[in-house]
Amino acid sequence: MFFVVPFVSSWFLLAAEAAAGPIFSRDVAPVIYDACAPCHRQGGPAPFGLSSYREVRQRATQVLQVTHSRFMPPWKVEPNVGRFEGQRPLTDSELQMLEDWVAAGTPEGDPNDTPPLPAFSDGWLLGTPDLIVTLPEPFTLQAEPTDAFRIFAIPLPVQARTWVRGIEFHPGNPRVVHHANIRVDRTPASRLLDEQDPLPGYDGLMPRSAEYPDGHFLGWTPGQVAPLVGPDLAWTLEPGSDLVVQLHMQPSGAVEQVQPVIGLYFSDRPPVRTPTILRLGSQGIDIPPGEGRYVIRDAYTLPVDADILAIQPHAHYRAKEIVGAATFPDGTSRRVMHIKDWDFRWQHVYRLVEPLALPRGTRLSMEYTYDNSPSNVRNPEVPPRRVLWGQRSKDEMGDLWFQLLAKNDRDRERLNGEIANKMVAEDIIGYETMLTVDPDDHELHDDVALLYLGMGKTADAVRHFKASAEARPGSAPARYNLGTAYAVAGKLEEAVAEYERAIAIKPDYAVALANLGSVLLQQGRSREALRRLEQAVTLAPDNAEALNSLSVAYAAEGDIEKALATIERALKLQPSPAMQKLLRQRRDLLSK
Amino acid sequence: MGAVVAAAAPQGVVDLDGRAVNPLTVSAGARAHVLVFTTTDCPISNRYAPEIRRLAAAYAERSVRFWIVYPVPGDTPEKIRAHVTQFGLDLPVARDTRFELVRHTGATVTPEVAVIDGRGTMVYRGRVDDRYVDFGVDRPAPTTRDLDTALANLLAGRPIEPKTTRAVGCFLTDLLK
Repeated sequence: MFFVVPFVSSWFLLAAEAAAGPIFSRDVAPVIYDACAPCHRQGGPAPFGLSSYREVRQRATQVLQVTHSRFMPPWKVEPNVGRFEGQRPLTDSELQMLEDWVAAGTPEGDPNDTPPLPAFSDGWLLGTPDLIVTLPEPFTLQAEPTDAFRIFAIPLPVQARTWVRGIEFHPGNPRVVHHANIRVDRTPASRLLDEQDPLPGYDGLMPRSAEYPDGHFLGWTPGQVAPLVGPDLAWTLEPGSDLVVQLHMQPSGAVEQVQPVIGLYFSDRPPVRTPTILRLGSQGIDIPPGEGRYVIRDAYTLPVDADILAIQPHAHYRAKEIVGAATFPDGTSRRVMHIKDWDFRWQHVYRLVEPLALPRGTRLSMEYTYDNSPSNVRNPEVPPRRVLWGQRSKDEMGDLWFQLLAKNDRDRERLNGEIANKMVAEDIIGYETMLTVDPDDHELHDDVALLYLGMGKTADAVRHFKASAEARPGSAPARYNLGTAYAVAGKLEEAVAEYERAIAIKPDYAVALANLGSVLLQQGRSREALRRLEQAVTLAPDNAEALNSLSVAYAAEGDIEKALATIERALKLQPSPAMQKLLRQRRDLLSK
Repeated sequence: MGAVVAAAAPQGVVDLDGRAVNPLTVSAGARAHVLVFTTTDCPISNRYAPEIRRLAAAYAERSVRFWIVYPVPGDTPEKIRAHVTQFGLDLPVARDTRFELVRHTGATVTPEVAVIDGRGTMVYRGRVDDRYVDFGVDRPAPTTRDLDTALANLLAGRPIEPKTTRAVGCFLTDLLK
């Protein structure tokens, strides 16, 4: 009797433990197969498999560590921010279960109870693409040392305007391709940069003309496939455009060949709505060495109602915490993005499961915190150095991109206009920041001068074109640019002097001769203008603007017959409607 | 932790042709052995291949012999040959499928290295350098090169400090269960 009770109770205890302790077949497999195996499988984008008891047991300690640290599954956003596509964080109870399972010695249970591995498609997850493109030849990635970036311009061979509902990116070599930043360039700018480098792709930056097409994010990170948008939201692909793909690669230790494949999915009709991209951020970043807490902020108040469809944060190695918030007109606010431990390597596009409706007057804001101290192990500089805003990975950035959808075209126009101005103003700050590092970079001076010109800030445009001309003495285009900025600013004397300099360097510089002629006309120096404009149209007979100026010069010199003949010549070129109208008005006037 | 003196020769450590080898006993003419624990499919381990190659070449002239040790039974001679070719690890190979070298050195992850001196004493065990801080957290370049420093000190007759470091990589412990 005395023996029976303890015996029964300890037997009971053992039985209870066996029932409660997690086993692979019943407890672990459903979680791992759902959260890990989509990438960690044969042919998947992860470096090793977690798709059988054997594979999971062999990595059990690692699985435990990386799930506890929340490095895996790769999901950087705090759980209370909102619901996003592709989100699969492990719950605290799932983490506890994994810990108990490893502590118990990774028991398998009855293999017959193990659920089957979900069916993963090794082909196109979005279906058969309408167009498949790839690099003409693979890029060779060296075995080391660390993160590498390469930009490729991939021609999109469409013969007519096409509408695109989405793309699917296949990395080609998942061992090394870590993420892809994808844009569309409707100009040849990216292609020319690619062609200048004899190897596939080029190092450096994407040109400004490589854009998110019609307000659509196109990036790729492992495990993410953006769903196709409805035909009402498709983006327009113009013939002659290139897909511009910037690959972020991590060397594997061996020399690797990289050749991603991209599928495009078309729509049979034009879209009815087009999203708008808002970029919040600061391009004035200037972090002293050793600074452990550097903060940037930006905000924008919506002039119209709009929905948030997706959010993409972007920063480099020194960023730590990323916060995005929406403050509604009634004063309440909520976080729409929050990442406590930013990792440059996991640049997801976060697509909201349900669009978030923002009434007009809602303030969207961002606050990023940076650590440029030696205790930030990701800091690429040891010891740390001063870091400024710039697009190279050794520089620092801080952007929070929102994909917004306005209610109608009128609202969208308003939103687009305001946002474009805001972003150009910030881009200008970025150029000024980069120029503090490279004050003699004439391309930066030229780019920012054009932005200033577009905003009507002629004095700033003159300042930068002047610096560009000084940085490359002997360059005729530099003098021409400066002359044009002076002309726009109304400084005609200076404009003439610069155009003269450009022509002294390059006597057959037709467009400089034409502009010089029209400035001389404005000054009332029609005789000199006539000489220059005749030279200009001899060199470039198809320049309607120059022909128009020439006709003005003939008229000013009293030669009405030649003036009228020149107008007819210009009209034959079928210039822009505005120019045609002007030419006809002048013809009517002169004929009287 | 003090130095560990070599135990009896391991019984099941073989080269790619199945011949018994003993990396724990420093061969004639050599001053030290370095055991580099690896697997064919550990990404962190693979990323160290160029650094291992460099160190092995630099110290070969100074009579230090590197061994690449594969403890995972699934890493067959065929898989290892392909791995050696792909990552350019043209060095002596030891298969340790009974985990004798793992147990003897106390290695817990790949890549992890153990330095054995001429008397068969393990004088260093741990990371190659401090590039990896954790999974997914790594420096663009190491700030300390522990293996390089340990070998330089050993050859110069200076004390090696620290004698052990924590390596970051794929766990071998799960294999020992």
